[in-house]
Amino acid sequence: MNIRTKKTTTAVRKRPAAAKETIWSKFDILFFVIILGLGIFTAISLRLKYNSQGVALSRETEKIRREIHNLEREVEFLTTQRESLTSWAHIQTRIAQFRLPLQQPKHNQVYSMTVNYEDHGLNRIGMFAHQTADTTTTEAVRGVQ
Amino acid sequence: MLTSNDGVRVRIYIVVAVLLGLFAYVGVRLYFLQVARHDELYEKAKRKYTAVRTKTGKRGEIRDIDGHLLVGNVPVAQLVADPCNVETDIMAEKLALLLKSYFGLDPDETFKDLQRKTRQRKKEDGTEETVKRRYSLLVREVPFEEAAKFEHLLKVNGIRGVTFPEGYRRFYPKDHLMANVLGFLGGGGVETARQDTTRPETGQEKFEADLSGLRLPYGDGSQEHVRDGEHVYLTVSEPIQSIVEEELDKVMEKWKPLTAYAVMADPRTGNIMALAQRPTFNPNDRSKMTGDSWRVRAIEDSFEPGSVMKPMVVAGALDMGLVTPGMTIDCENGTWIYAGRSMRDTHPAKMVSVADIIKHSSNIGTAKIGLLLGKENLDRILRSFGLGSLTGIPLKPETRGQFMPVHKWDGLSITRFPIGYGVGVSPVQMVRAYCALADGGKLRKLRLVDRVEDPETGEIKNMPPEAPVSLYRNPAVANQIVDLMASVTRPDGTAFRAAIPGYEVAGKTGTSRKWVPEEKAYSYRKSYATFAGFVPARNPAFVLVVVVDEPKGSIYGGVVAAPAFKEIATRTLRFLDVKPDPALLPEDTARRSQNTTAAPARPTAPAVPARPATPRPAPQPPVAPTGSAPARPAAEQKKERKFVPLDSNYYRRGYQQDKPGSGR
Repeated sequence: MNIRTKKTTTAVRKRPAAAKETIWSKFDILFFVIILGLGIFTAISLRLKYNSQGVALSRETEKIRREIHNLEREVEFLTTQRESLTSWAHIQTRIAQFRLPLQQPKHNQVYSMTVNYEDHGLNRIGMFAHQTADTTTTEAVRGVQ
Repeated sequence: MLTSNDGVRVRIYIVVAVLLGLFAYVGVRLYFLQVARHDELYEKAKRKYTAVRTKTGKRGEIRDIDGHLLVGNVPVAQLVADPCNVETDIMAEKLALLLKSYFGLDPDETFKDLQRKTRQRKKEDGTEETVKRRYSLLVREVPFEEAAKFEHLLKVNGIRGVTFPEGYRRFYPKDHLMANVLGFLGGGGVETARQDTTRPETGQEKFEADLSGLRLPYGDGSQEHVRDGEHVYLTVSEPIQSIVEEELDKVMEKWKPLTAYAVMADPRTGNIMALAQRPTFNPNDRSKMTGDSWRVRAIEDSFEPGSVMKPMVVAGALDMGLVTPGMTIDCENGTWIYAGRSMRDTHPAKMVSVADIIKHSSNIGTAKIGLLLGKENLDRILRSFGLGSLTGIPLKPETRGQFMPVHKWDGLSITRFPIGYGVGVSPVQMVRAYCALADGGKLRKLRLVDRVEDPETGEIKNMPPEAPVSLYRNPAVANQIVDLMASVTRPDGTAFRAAIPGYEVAGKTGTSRKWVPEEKAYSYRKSYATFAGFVPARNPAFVLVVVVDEPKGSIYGGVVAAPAFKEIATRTLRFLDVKPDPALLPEDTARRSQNTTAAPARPTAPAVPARPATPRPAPQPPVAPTGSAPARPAAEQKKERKFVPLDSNYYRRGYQQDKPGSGR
C-alpha cells in the first residue's frame, strides 16, 4: 500500500513554465540555425555565382585577348606587306604595268621645307610639289602633314 | 549483473572509441599529407593545374635613316600534330589529304607519320622505354593567313589533334635591296654584326588553368620579362639605295662585269647613304644564292685603285708646299723609264702643270710628285687619308687593304703607289678618303648605324659621329684640290662623261689593270674601272665611288664608271632637291629656268646660292677613252700583254729611288 502522499501542486506549477521556456529556446535556436543556414547558402550561392561569372568573364577576356593578339599579328603582317608594296622595285613594276605617263618634275617645280612638329621625336620633311604654268599656279601637297 | 543501461553505455563507448580511432587516423593521415609530405604533394598538385607558356619576343627590326623597314618579322605558325589525338584512321587520312592539297605534303608519308603513336625514349639509366608520341612537326613555317584558313578548315571537318604554335620569320620586304649589307643571321652583314642587340629575350608565363587550359581568374601566376630586340636604324636612305642599285643593274647589263660596287657617303658626317653591289641575292629566297653573292665585297675585298689615288698624293704635295697647281713637271713626252720599268701617259706631253696632271691623269707627273715627296712623306700622306686602316663601318670582316710599311717598299713603290698600283684599298676606304677631299681635308670615320631604339621604352640611343681629323696644314689646299678635281669632268678632262649639266662635279677616273698571278704580269684586258667624285664640288651633297670589276667592251673608268656616276648622281641630286647652278646650265636651259623660276619665290627652298658665271672652256672634241691607261685600237686591246722593262739598267738616268727631288 502506498502510504506516501503525492505532491501534485508543485509538479503542476513547475511544468508549464519549463515547457514554455524550452519551446521558446528551441525556436530561437531553430531560427538561428535557419538564418545561419540561409546565410551560408546565400554566401555559397553568391560565391558560386560570382565564380561562374568570373569564369565566364575570364573566357570572354581570353577570347577577346586572343582576338586582339590575332589582330596584332595581322597588323604586323600587313605592315610588312605595306613595306613590300612601297618599295621602289614594286612601284616601278606597277608604273610599267599600268603605263603611267609619269615624268620627273623640273627643279623649279619642286621645293622642300622642314615642317617642325612632333612626330615621335622626328621632324619629317613635307615635300610640296609646286606646279607653275604661265596662267595658273597651283600647289599640291604630297607629304605627311 | 549488467543492466540494459550498461549495455547501451558499452555500445556508446565502442562507437566513440571507433570514431576517435577514425579521427585519429584521419588526423595522422592529414598530418602526413599536409605537413610531412606537404611540399611534394603541393608541387604535384600545382603541376596539374599550372599551365606554362613560353613567350619569345621579336627580333629587332632594321630600318633606314627615315624609318623605312628593311628587315622585319612576319608572323608565321608551325603546323604540329599530336598523333595520339588524331584518333581514327579516317581522321588521319582526311588530315593527310588536306595537307596535300594545302601544302603539297605526300599523303602516304603523312598518314604513316600520324599512325606512329609511340616512340622509344632513352631513360637516364640507359635503358629504353616506350612512350606516347605527342609531337609531329608537319610544316615548319605556314604564313599567317594560310594558318588561319587551315585552322578553320580543320574545325569544319572535325579534325582534332593539330595545333599551330606561333612564331616569326625574318622577312626582307625590299627583297634584293641592300641584301649584302643587311646579310642574314649567320651570314654576315648588319644582321650578324648587331645580333647581340637585336636578339629578343624569352620568358615563361605560369598561370593556374582549368581543364580546358583557360586561365583561372583567381589563380596565382607569374610571368618572366619578355623583351623584344632593339631596332637598328641605318644611315642608309632607301630611295637613294634603290637609285644606286637600279643604275648598277644597268652597268651589269651593259658591261657584263664580274662585279660592280657603288658606295655613297655624306662627307660632312661620314654617313653611308648607299652601299650596293652586284651580283647580289634575294634574302627571302636563299636557295639560289651563290657563295660570292652574299659577301659584302665593298668592305671585304680590296683592289688596286689606279688613278683615283692621284688627288691624295697631289693634295699632300700641295699641303707640304712642294708643288703648286701652276708648277710644271716634265712628263717625258709620255714615256718614262724609272727603275728599269717603263711608265706611260695617255696624253703625251713634255711640260705639264700640276693642274693638268690631275686633269689628264698623268702617271708620269704623279709618279714624279711621289718622288718629290719621298717615301716617308708619301707613306704618311696616304695613311693619313685612311689607307691601310679600318673605316669605322661596324661590319666584319673588313679589310685594311694592302699597304706595306715603308721598310718593305721596293724601288718601284715610290712611283707606283701614287698612281694606285702596288696598294690595295677597299671601295669604302676610297669613299672615306674622298670624303676627306670633299670636306676640306677632314677625315671622318664612316657610319652605317645611325641610332638604335628600345622598342619597349621608345628610348632612342643616338650614335653621334666622331670628331674628324684635320689633314691639311694649309687651308688653301682644300679649294685647290677641288679645283683640280673639278677640271677632270670638264669637256677636255678624262671624265667628261661624269659631268652633270647645272652642277660642278669633282672627281677622278681610275683604270687599274688586274694582276694575273699565273703570268706574273698586269693584264691588258682585265681591269678595275673606277670613278670617285663628289657633287656639287663646292658644297658636296655626297661622295660617290663606282667600281666595275672586269667590264667587257671597255676597260676605262671614264667610259664605264663615269657614266654610271653621272646617272646615279643626277637622280640623287633630284631626290635630295639640290638645285642646279643656273650659271652652269647650258644657255637655253638656263634661260628657260630663269623664266620659270621668276614666279614662285620660295624663301624656304634650299637652293644653291647663285654663283657668278664662270667662263666655261671652249668645247673641244672628246678625248679618247679616259683613264690612266693609253687608248689603244680594239684589236690591240684584245691582245694580252705584259709590262716589260724597256731598260734593265735602273739607274742609267741617274735616278735615285729613295731620294726626293725633281724626278729629273
